Amino acid sequence: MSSREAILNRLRTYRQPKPSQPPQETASTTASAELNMAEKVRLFTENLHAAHAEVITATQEDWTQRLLSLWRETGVHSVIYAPNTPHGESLKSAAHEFPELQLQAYENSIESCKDALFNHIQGGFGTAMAGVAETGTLMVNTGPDEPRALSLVPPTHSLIIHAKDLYADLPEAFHQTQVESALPTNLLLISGPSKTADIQQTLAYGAHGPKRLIVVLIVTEESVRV
Amino acid sequence: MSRFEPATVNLEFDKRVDDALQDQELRANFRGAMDFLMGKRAAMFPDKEDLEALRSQGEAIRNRCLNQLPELLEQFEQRCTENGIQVHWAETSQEANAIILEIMHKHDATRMVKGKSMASEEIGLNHFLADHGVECLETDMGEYIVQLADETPSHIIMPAIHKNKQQIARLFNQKIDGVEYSEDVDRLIGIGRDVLRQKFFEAEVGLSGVNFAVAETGTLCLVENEGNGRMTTTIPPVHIALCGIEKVVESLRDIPPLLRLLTRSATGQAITTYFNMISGPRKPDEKDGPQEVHVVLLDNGRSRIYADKQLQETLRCIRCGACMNHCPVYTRIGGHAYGTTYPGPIGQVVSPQIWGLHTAGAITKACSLNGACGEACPVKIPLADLIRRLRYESNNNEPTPVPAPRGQGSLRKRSEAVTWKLWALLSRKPGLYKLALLLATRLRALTPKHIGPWTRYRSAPKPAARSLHELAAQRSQSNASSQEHGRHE
Ligand code: SF4
Repeated sequence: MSSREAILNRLRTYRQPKPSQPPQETASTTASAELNMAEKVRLFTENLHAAHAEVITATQEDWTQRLLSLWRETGVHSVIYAPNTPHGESLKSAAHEFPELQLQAYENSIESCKDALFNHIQGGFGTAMAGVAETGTLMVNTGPDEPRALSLVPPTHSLIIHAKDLYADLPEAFHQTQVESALPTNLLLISGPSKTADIQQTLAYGAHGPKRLIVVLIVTEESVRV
Repeated sequence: MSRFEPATVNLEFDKRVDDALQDQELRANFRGAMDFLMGKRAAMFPDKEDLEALRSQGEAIRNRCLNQLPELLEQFEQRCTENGIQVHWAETSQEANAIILEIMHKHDATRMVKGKSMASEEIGLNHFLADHGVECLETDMGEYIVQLADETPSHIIMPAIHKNKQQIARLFNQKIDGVEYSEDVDRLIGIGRDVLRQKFFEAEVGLSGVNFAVAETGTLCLVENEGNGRMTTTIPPVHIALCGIEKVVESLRDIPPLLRLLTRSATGQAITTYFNMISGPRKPDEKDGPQEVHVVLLDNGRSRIYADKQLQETLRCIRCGACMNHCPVYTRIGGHAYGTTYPGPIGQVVSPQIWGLHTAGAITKACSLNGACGEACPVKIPLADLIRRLRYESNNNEPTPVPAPRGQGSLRKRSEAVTWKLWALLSRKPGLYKLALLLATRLRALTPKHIGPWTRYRSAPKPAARSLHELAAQRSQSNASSQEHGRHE
């Protein structure tokens, strides 16, 4: 008998009978369940700040300029980005405002750019499909247009999210975005820069992943009005 | 302790505890860390009622999933296969090690980077692979420190919690080329980051654990803060995930409540930096990610635990570590004293069941049955009850209807068994009982002064001159006679 059969047989033989009345599984709803847009924006931003992330609240018109100047001020001179995305394209067409910036498209497989990724490129830029206000979390749907290493290897990770894609909590975000029906190879929840407290409970940022997380939050008139 | 040796657990337990209790630095490190973690957790659950509701929900979800475990495992296997993930089954640790080595051989691989995985500690993977010429590097900062010191983790969530920063500064200075002594934590982490980045770059295979495996979608979920788990599962061309068979949950909807409980109970975080959900290898049009993903489903005694209705509760565990953070014994003796991969209350329950009571049953002694662990447990495992049950099984040699824990009855002592039999007999026969009482009280001068370990720190008990029965009888007699008196006066 194979190990598989042996294990499954044992489990089937000794399974406990199903309880006739399965216990209730609903917990009290989280406090953030019913938030309006402005409240979600506020909570999301607060939580990201608490997690040591930087947030740029910008509009559709000025975000490229704001992000580029932050990069310039903080010495991020080489950035890899996901092409074939609307935001990637906007970034590319605005890049002339920051002439020293080396903007590289993540177009080929990692094997061809691994050395640059690990040793030279200072930043990665991508898009978040959704955000969770309660925990300051960004949901990143990786795939051909959103490579995984973008948000992992370069020391500064920047990503953009629209206020309309914010949800109160994780169950709502899963439910509303219907990720379940089409999970990508790698679905990521990111809630700050990489960190560790493994040395005497002292918090240090930039353990293995990015040391900085810059979140560009696109708001409209409506999303900030209380 | 440089390597986990199951055979030494029972044999060296008392000595390990003694040594740990003498080590003032170790005790200070644990006290500080446990107070810190308990405080962080408490701050996350300000409302008692909410917490209770959440724990009941966690318990119910895990129970529902365990109840359909065989079906969920099959479904998980099928979905994974559809997603392109290769699924392997391992009944024992030897089998799991062999499967992993074979994958390494298939790729001519000699360099593995590892994300945190307690299951890999359980099967002794590092040493097994080292013996077969594979470099196997821990990349979680705490695990890296522990591996550098040639030790084993002392906590399931924070492996290097037994060390303070001075000790780690000395370690880095001695073990890593060209590193000066520095107690600056940012600097120390920076050093680890640089060393390990190079390893992620070079490694051919990455091995990780699994926090939750989702049956409906064939998804592996990993919880972490550092990003080493993502590195391990993203950069090397091959990813192997080692997953205990009990980790399977039904659907994605089960994840948010369990994740909520896990991170809040473990480190007092509302969420960790990364929650990494992997549902397949790199697709043809994708630019990165491993080309191959394997899952090794590990039994290693779990299906035996599953057989016993009460002990099955063990399998609800989501490995948050809260039970050890709240355990007064763990806080004082630290994780290494237990001598097994899994320390603290959950370790006292899991370890003897995996390695057998005859090997690891003695660690169930290190419990005062105060119950703090069970109260902290996010999935309501009655840890103290299970510890008591295992103590009982260590001494029980009656047959059980389902497979009993391995090593059942192995700690049974003849003298002890005879003593209890005798006591049971006396308690059933009033005549004998009276006689025994009479002997015990009248011959009290003969009670021995030294009775085994009991008198190592305490004085020997001595029967009273008169038994309670006698005293009570005397008193009621004298009361009666004084009342008689009163009436006549
Ligand atoms: S037994 Fe409960 S408290 Fe202990 S590690 Fe497991 S889930 Fe956490």
